[in-house]
Amino acid sequence: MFSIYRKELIAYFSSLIAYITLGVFLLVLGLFVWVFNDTSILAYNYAGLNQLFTITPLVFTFLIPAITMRSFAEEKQNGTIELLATKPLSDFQIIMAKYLAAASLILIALVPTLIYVYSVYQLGSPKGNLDIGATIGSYVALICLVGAFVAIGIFSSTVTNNQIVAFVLGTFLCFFVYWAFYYISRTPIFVGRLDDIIEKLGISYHFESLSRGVVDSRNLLYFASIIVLFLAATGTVLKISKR
Amino acid sequence: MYVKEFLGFIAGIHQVSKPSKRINELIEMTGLGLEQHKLIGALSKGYRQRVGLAQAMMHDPEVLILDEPTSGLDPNQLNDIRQLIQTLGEKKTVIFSTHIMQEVTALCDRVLIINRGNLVADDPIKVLQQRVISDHQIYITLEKKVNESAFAEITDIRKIKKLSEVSGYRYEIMAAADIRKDLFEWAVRNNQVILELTKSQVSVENVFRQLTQEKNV
Repeated sequence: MFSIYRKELIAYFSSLIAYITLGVFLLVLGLFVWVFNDTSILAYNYAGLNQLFTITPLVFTFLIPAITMRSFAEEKQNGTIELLATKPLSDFQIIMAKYLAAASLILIALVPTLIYVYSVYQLGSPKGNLDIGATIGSYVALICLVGAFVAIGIFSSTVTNNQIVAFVLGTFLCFFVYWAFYYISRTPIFVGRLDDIIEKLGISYHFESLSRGVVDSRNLLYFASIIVLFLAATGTVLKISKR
Repeated sequence: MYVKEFLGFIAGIHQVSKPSKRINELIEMTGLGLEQHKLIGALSKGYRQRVGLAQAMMHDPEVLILDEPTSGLDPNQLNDIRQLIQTLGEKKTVIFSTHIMQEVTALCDRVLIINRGNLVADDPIKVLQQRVISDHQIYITLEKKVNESAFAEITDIRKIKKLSEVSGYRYEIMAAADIRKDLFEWAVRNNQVILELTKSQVSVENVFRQLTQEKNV
């Protein structure tokens, strides 16, 4: 399993995928957080990183499916999935290796944003006037979000052998699971009746609740279930496609 | 992916104890020496086939199953791969599929013929050749034209087919026994000049054709 994980990571870093991903991610975040006047921390006048944590999910919705789209779709297209299938590896090992490789890449992309935290910490007046608890909570939330989105992306990559289809499906599912439940819960039919239950089905509720700095086990359990759900679905699809 | 990188990956999956030593062995065995630092995507089909063979032999399996290992290769590559299969066959069981019958005669000990999903033959190659030997196929070319009925005095003849009239008159004769001697004597008696008289070797090709077409009718 470790050798597939290593091969996947090498594949990301020996092609343009990793560098484009990191570059685009940091460029977009940098622009929103420091340059654009509407969203810039400098114009906001409060020493906080709220902007960073509201923009990132949106960027990830597009970026993560773009990375995971190749994981199984490409193997199916090239027929190399047969090679893996005939090796002494379980489906679980193959899926986990690919999942962890993609997740590691995104987490590596997140590391440079710690510089923003340091900058805002230094810029605060007085110095260090930053809600550390909320920041740590937000990072926990981001890591959970990466876990969930990568699981969704890997799943959409297994259902097709076309990478474009995998990308579009992955983006849609990420978007749906993150935002759609919130908007559905706000429709007049549900308000006052089921709205709180429906809202809790979506990621946004749990993400925001973690971002406040309260690392609640219920929220973590929610993310864990999303990841398990999509990876289990991946396993099922893979098993069916083998017949 | 590079050839060595790929073989390293496969070695990792099989948890081979001394990967680099094993990889070098395999590169040596499959004759990949000159191409070992190239991208697999940049290799010709024959070399890609060898990379495939090398990865299949990574963990030293007892049985190798190859699906048309020689398809799409040029004659030199064909020869190399066949030799490789033959050397492997000395120590291991190699099962391979092919459409080329000369390959079967050259390489195999035992032949299985499958026709439309059904097994129609499963014999050592010698036995297989004898299975269709009941009919002897003889080719004769005469200088002068004769009627097919002229052969009537030879009793063992089952069927005569006229083939061509270019450079002599050629006939294909199916007979119950080896009638070459009879044909010669017949020609002498009838003042015929024989330009060619051959008995066709019962090749695996014929066996194949016979076994697969019989069932189709």
